Amino acid sequence: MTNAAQAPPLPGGSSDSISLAGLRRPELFAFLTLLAALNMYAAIALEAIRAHGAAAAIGNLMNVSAIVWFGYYAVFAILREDEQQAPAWRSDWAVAALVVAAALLPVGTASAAAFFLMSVYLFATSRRSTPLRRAAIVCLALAGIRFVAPLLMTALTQWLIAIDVRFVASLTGATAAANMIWDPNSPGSRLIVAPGCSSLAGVGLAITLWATLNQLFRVPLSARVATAGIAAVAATITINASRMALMLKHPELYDFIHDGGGAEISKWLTLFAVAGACLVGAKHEIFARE
Amino acid sequence: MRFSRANSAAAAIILLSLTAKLVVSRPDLMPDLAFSGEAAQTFLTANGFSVEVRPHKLGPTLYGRKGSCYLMLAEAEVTGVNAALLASLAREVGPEQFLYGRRFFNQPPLVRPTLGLLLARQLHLMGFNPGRRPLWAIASNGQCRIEQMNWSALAALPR
Repeated sequence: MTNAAQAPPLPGGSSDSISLAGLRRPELFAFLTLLAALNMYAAIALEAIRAHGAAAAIGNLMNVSAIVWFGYYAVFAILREDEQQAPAWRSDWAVAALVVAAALLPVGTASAAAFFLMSVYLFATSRRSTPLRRAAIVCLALAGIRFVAPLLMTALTQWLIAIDVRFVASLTGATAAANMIWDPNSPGSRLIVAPGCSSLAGVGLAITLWATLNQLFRVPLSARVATAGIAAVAATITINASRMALMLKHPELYDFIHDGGGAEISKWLTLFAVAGACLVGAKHEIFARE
Repeated sequence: MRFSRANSAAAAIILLSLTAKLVVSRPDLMPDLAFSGEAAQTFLTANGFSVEVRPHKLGPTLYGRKGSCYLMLAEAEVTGVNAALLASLAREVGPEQFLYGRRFFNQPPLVRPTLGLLLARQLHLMGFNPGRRPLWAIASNGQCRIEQMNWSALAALPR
């Protein structure tokens, strides 16, 4: 493990630092994260308020997963741990200008793209195990959900869904082609899998929670931690595939499984399975802090 | 506070950025498959076809007949959601082709339609009305000379 205090300065480091407004790097990146997050999710929150009213939208966390909110909390908590409080670098201000300019555009995707670039920059300009690097890892996971995953989903929809569909077909003995599955023994049973039903969104959340917990509790990467991450992803895919298999085998329960109580059950089941796997992976460090 | 001016500037930036979102906020651009179905029906009728429309959750499929020509026409979602369904329906009619803009393809094109969709969605969210360029799946029984037809009416749609 590298000791940040003894390590040589990074390129563009302290010699380039300027004390504009007296801001420190952790303060600046905390602000940029807050700004990007608010602007990335503003449209989703407004849509939730329009559709369900303010109280219900707040109760439903503005239609944003609790894992995502927890991730942002973790970024701020980790950045508060930074004891070095290095002044902001000259190059930091260029990144800040990009994030602010993107936030001023009326479209959230611009903020998502800028936040992704900021996360990559923060990762590249911070030292291993420092709060800045740990925050950058969580930021990368959060940016992955909001920027990389939707981009992949748009460009590679057919391939990503085909993975899910083939898995369901192997579980049920059904026949699959592209995004369609049908049971040859049960005429009329046919399931067409839409992009929203792909496991990708769930996998993104599982990776985010895994990264968040490990960085928040300073869990070093080990075989146990990696296995926990793989288990969280596998649980997400398996629960989603089981849900699709049930819809195929029991078309009479389609509405319940797709939109009703069944959808809620699978959502909570996924959350518990993912959180359980991640917590088991990080249990030593979590108990050590208590 | 140590950097109260910076705090004020930060609050102002947040407020300004969220105001921009509030002012121009509108729902995402979703392909209106019912509308494109109506446009396709108008197009086929105007070209002398008798048209049968078969509705489906993933958008209507149109069947047109004109003399010995029999064809199937439907909007193929750029993301490929209805690709397998349309391919199976097309098999009952004839070889499937794809029309994007004014060009025909034997396989559904991916890059330009995907970039076009992403750009149209962002422009729409910014308050513009860019319209959209749909991808059409066409199957015919080989008696239609579809490439000689003037498809410009279907090259771009307002929603």
